Amino acid sequence: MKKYQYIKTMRHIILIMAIAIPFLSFGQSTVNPDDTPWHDGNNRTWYQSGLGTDFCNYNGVIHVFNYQDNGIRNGGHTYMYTINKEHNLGSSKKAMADFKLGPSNDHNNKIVWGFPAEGTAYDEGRPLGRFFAFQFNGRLWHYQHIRSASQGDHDPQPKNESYECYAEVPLDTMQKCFTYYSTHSPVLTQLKLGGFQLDSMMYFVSRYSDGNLQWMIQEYSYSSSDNKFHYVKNIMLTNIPTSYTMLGGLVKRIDANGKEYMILNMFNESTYVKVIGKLTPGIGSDNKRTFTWTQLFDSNAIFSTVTTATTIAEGSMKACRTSDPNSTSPDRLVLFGLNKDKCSDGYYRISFREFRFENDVMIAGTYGTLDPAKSSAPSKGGDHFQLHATFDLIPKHYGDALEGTNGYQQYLWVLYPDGSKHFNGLPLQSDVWRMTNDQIITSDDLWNNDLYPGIEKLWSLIGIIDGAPPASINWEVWNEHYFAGTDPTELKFTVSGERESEVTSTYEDQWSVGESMELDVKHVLSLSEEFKYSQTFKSTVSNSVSVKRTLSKTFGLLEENQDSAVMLWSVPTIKRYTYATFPWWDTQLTHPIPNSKQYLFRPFGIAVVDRNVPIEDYPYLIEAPNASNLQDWSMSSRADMEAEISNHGLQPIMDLTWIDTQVGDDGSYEITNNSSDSYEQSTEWEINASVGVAVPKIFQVSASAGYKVSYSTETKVTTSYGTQIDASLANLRLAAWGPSTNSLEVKVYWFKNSKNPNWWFYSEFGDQRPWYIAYFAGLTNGKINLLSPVNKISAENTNLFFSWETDNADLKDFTLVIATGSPIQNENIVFRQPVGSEKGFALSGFKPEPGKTYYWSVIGVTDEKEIVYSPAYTFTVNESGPENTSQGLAAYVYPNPGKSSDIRIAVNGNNGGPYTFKLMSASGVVFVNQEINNEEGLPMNISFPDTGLPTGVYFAIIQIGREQVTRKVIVR
Amino acid sequence: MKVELYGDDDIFLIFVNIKKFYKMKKIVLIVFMTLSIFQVRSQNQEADPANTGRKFFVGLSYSYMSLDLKLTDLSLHSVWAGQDMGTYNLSSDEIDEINAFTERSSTVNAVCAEAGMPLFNKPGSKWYVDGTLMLGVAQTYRSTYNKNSGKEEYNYNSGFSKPYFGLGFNVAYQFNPKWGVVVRPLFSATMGSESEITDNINAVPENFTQTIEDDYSTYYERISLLGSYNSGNFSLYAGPGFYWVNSNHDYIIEQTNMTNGDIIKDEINTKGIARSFIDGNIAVEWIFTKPLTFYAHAGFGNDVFINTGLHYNF
Repeated sequence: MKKYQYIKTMRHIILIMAIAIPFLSFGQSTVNPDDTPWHDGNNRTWYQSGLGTDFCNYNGVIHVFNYQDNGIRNGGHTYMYTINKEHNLGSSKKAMADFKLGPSNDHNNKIVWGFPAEGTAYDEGRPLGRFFAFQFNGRLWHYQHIRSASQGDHDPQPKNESYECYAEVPLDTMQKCFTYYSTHSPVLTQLKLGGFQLDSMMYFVSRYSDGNLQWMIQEYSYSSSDNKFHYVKNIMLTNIPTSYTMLGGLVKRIDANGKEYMILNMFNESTYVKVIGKLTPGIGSDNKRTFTWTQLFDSNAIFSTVTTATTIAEGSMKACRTSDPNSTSPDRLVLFGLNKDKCSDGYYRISFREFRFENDVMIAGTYGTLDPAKSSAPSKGGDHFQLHATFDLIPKHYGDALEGTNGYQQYLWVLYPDGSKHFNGLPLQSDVWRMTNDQIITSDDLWNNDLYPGIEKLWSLIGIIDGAPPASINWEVWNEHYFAGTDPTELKFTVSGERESEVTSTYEDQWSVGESMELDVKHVLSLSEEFKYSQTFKSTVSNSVSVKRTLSKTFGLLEENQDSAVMLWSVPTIKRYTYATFPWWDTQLTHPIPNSKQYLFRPFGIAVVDRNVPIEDYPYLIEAPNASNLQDWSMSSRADMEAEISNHGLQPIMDLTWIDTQVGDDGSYEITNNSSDSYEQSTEWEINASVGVAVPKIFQVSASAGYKVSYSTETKVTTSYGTQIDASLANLRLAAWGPSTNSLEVKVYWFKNSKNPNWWFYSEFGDQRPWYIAYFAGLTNGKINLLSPVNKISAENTNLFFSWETDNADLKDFTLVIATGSPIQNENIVFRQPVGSEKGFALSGFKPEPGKTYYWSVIGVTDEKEIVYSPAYTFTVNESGPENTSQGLAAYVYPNPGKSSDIRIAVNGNNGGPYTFKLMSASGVVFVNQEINNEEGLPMNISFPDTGLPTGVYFAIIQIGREQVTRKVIVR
Repeated sequence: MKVELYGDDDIFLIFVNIKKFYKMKKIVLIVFMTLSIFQVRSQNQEADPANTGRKFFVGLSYSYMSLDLKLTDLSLHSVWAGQDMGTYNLSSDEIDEINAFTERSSTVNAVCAEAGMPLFNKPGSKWYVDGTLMLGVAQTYRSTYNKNSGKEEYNYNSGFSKPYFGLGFNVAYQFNPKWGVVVRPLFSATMGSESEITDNINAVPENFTQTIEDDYSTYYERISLLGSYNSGNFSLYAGPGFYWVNSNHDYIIEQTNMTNGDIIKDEINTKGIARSFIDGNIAVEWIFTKPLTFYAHAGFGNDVFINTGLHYNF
């Protein structure tokens, strides 16, 4: 046939076909990617000598593992990269970025296993099967099987062995991958091609490379002790034809009953066959795992175009289209295939077929051709045709219900090597994950444990209080003299200016699995495709929220609550947001993808709720709170508390007193900046919802009654303290007007978790660690008033003189303590000096750090061994030059003025040796001239009780060596 | 074919049914049919064929070339919404692979006016040289067929609308009045831009409009080495011919997204040559009246070359 006639015949045939094809190819289309195709600007080479490149989305980002030949006698290694980590669109997409791991002296993107000749082989060991990545328990793993290239100098062949290599990508990029490998000798012929997690086990899709070429699922268990996978057994899939030689893709899905199953795609690049099938897990009669394979579509049913490599991805595919012919069927999966035949322009086109799921039945939909940029169009990747599909999740903000990133736009990515063997990708706009139009449900009545029995399991215990400061009151008399509601005593968290006491609770977000209210089921970790969005959201955006509430409560003593202690609870108010995945065309959010609906439970606030509890209960143990002798409030009656105080040297934060005919004390405990207490706990509440059983609105579903609610969350409770805590006995005046005693002393103690995580009372509260404000009370033993230095002094130097006074002459055995924190307790005391009955002390033996704030107080002991504490004052030494750091001779006179028998002169005595002491009048008459031997340089208190000095002004001169100080003394 | 003769030295009209090629314009057909002229030139057996005392000649000619081409270069360049995706030049191995499964053919029909003159025609000399200049219009039909997929991927027909240029020479040596040898070098070229292209592989994507254009140029060089036999007014020629073709195409596909106006541009640059370079030639000249000469020259091999026309000598 002449060429002209041949052409004419062909044109006739083409004409006929052109007429017929529209009827034969319903749903066929040519489409463009939605976004600018991506090309690796760094021109890295796709591995050519086997299937040594794989891609996986982890936490929303495309990760790449690419094998590379490192050159002659340098073997080969796998290198890690990320693609479009910043989730850019258009031309902003950047080159493939090295994903570097490891400490600063070894920070690179290379994975090293250490199998023989890994880095020294003449040629790199070749991949067997294919490289692939998988996730297990939310962690990214990479698998590769390498034929040994280890060969001795005199060996004709490399060793007959192979290495199965696993690498776990660390969460901290300053760590290297955890790696291990298994050696198989001879070369292992079971080739793993892909993997998925099911419950707590790992399953690998594998096939034999010799013999019967059979497909199988290999079951592996995971051991957390060695962080490795251990072989259990092979589950043979005898009904998968062995004509399929490679796994193209694997998608994990959930059916309408919530059961997981897998869609698998296999192909043979030499015979151009392909298949899609369903892998259904089950449990056999022997209680062991089984899998059933069901073929869904073979080559001809997918599309007639002959393809080589194929792959699948879950999601809808927009590809610059404006509508979809089956808009009410949003659940999609796409198969991509690399055409077998190059076009006359020298590249391979990509064919695709969309599938939709209706009632769990997979139906073939539109098919056609994907039109890539021709200059970077697909080509053969070395020995094999290679086509991969994965996805990118672009963080998005939709609506105003939640701030910041609150949704994702998925892009399917089709990845392939071009003619230059470089990396290329086609981004295709896909599904959207976001909040639905469903109403946001709020439950702010979780404090109502009458309505919701057991709901207090979701509460967090902030603190417990012995109630208002105790007092023994004749209420009948009290009520006669005071207006109703006048509290004899009060405890108050105050708000002053901008500094408030606050309770902050940090709650972990809780996501449901589908619409189930059994939130303790951790299905999401095994990453069915439907829940990849919420898993990514938790890992990268937010998995917790902090909410706070001002704590400004007043606890006043009343007859009605005198027999109650108080428990302060943090009760969350929770909102339920409904999320679902929608196909690209569903801008009205009317057709969510079935089984994609999830609820986000997120607290948006907390209520601080106080509950009265019997004060006779543990740990309070006050049987008779209003007894006239206040016996139960004494230290001897509260032995556990007293022992803890003693063991830790804990001092009270306030010591309040009242004496008949006087106004009772108002006390304040000033809280230092940034003081807080916190602890972490798990809360969990379960209930079977049925008719007649009330459940909070957030846990109500439209399903009929008879479902289980199981809500749990991890919580961190923090109490931040504002300005001060006030306690008051100010309403106590006359004993005849109500009090049953004619005096009262209340010591207020504060047991904080931050000071000791093992207080005795924690045994009562499980993993909760509330603070405890407790009291010791009894008749007053007097007070100690601090005189100098004044509170909050900023001293010029370290020559400090401490002095105090007391109204109880029986108070003796004073001890001066200096601490670095408050409340003062053993753990923070840095200086302790018994001074006997003296009421002053010139500081020596301790050098305060300039610029640091210290707390000091004085403890006195009565003859009856009752301990009286002064309040705690603070002082700071100015940060200054070296001339003020040395401590020279210093002397202090106290009381001044005072009686000659009372006056003391405290000398710091830092220098050892003989001291000379003179006391002379203003006119120069010497009344005392004394030499004191103080070789050890101890502090001294000099007194002159027998001099009987008349009223007047005198001068005390203290001298040691060349040092001399003179002090004015006023005798009255 | 119908011939009416109106005597020597007169112009005869020939009505020729030309085979209808795809999309031949009617006006051109009518013009061709009405203006075809051939001259029968009586030939003095003793005299050199050109020794007519004439100095110039003019005429009309028709050329046909059917070429089986193969690629020598192919480059792909894409610009996607303003981002240059780079240029990929296929390697020689890739070019060879494409040539193995692709049939690229080009057919050119050209109608020209010719003018020429003897350049060397001394009485008594055995040598004779003349040159001819051709200007006309050409129709190009191009087709690309993929044997692997069984699909014709491209074709277009330009119609008689593209310029055609040619320059030919006759260099003749007569051994004796009957036998001689002729060398006939010929150079011709046609070029143009075509947008009415049937592209079966770059279908218009959904939601896009698409324009396609092929800027092409084809250069044809031939040198025929012919033996000649003269008998009366007829001269017959036969011998090998050697030819070369350079076919250049710059094929641009521009797609516009109807939603956002983004433009995607793909550019495919190809250079092709003929798969063969030698064919067998036969030619005839018939002086059917004194000023008129009919000639025809055809080369057959892997490709086909035909050139025929009428000269009026004066």
